[in-house]
Amino acid sequence: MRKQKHLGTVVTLIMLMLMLLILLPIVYLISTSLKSPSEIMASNAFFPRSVTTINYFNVLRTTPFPTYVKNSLAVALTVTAGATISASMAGYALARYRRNNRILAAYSKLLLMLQMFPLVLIMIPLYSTFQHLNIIGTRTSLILASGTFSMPFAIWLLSGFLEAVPQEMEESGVIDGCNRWQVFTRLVLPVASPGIASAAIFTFINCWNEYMMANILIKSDLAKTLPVGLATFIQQFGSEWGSLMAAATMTIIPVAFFLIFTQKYIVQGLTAGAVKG
Amino acid sequence: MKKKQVDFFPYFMLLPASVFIAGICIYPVFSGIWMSFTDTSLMNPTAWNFIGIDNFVEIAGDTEFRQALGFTMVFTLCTVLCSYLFGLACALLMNRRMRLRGLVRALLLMPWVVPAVVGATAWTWILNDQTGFINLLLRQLGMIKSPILFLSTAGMARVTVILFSTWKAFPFMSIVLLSSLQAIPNDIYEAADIDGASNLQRFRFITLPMIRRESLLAILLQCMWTLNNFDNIFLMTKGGPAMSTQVMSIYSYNTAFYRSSMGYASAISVVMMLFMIALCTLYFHLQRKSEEAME
Repeated sequence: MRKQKHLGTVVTLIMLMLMLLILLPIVYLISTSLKSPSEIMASNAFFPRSVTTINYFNVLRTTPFPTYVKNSLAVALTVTAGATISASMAGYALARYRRNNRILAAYSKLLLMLQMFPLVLIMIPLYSTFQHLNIIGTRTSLILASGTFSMPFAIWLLSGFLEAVPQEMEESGVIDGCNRWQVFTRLVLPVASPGIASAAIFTFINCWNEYMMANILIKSDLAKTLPVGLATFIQQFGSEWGSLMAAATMTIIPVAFFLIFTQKYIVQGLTAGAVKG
Repeated sequence: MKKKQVDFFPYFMLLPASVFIAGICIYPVFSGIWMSFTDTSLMNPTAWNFIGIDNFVEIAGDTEFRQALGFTMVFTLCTVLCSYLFGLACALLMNRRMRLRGLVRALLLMPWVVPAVVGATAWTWILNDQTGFINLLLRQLGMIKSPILFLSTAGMARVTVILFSTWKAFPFMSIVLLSSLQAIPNDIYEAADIDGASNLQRFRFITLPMIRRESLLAILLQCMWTLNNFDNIFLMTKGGPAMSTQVMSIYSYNTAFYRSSMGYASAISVVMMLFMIALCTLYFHLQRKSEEAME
């Protein structure tokens, strides 16, 4: 028994060291962001000799970084709210009625297939459509595209969670005089809230990180989201590594936050979405 | 006798999602397939001609396409294989009583949740030939004389983007495999112990068969994601140097948005779609088979 306990500590140590090695680029990125610009060029030490926040002030004061943050937040929050609401409705319909309804069964298969289409194939015509609608380059266009593409996975994930809600509970709700919409909003959704949290966190992270669509749809500095903005920084001040690293570090903050505090939901979503099908 | 009535409630519930999916997902797919038979250009999208299969004929003789297709295959295979093996190793290590499991798992998931642009920046910086930590370290240790050009020679750039993609993909594999390892009932291992099975035999005859289904599904899913991936390579090398890391999605993107030939670009992505459909069919087939086996 005691041997087992020691083994657990050893494995933990091995894993921690392995993870540190794996995360070396990220750790180095953060450590560089805390060095002064002259130290970055002069020294090759891994950790900063004297910690400074000058790069962070530079990024926040002299670049459009705050605008990017605002745009990213606006897009990600709108998408998360919209996609989660419509996906939980659709997921409920599929979870409850797919069994004896052929149209719904086909619909749920279609959703799976949608995830398999190359995104470029969709983006090329979508670009011209948005051009016709005259919304190209706006945050609205990105919200529409990003929100829609996150729906199939969210529906899929949520229908799994909603299926697990016991049907007897809903029947008791009907006896108490609720109509089906009320049963859904007042009984089913609260019970399925862990699943909804999982879907919402997934949608948020994906949308926050999304680069390709934002890069195609948005060109003006005023509407850029963080990933596109960061990619511009790389081109614009290729030599000002400190500022770039500070901007990159700040970009990770929300996802790191989710990772630390809602890890359970992320793991749940990953395994459920990937393997249960 | 009840009259057979159409129940509108489920359709009402599906409506909001369906409107968006139909307009922004399904319509563009068909429109893109249609576009691949035309010579639509980005500059003048309303003036297009139907040109039949000309685009596809051109693809058949296009050396740049062949190069992109070749690297897409190599890139996908290597990334998926490496991330599976490394992910499995991590999952096996973590599948036992250990301290700080939550912390280790959070660190493990980090590469997966970090935006590709941040990952690419971090990697480009640490691999930089003049100031990058790896090159400086190797030089100080006397292992190399001149810096390794991780991103500016064709061969190294290919290795680097595969490593970067593996780094981003392995946490997914690891978490999926870990959950499937944890589902293996312990008494099978106990029975094997009584029979005197070695560790290697336990792994070969119990662990591997028990995680076979999840492995296959996760591998196929990762194949599709990697085949479809644009961000990882584009943010690191933009497909260069000299197109050596150009995959099909980047080639299609460049063709549409820099060379303005949307028709030809659509044709390239239609070819990509055929590969995806093949993988997808395999995925459904395996899933159905495993469901039947379960019943």
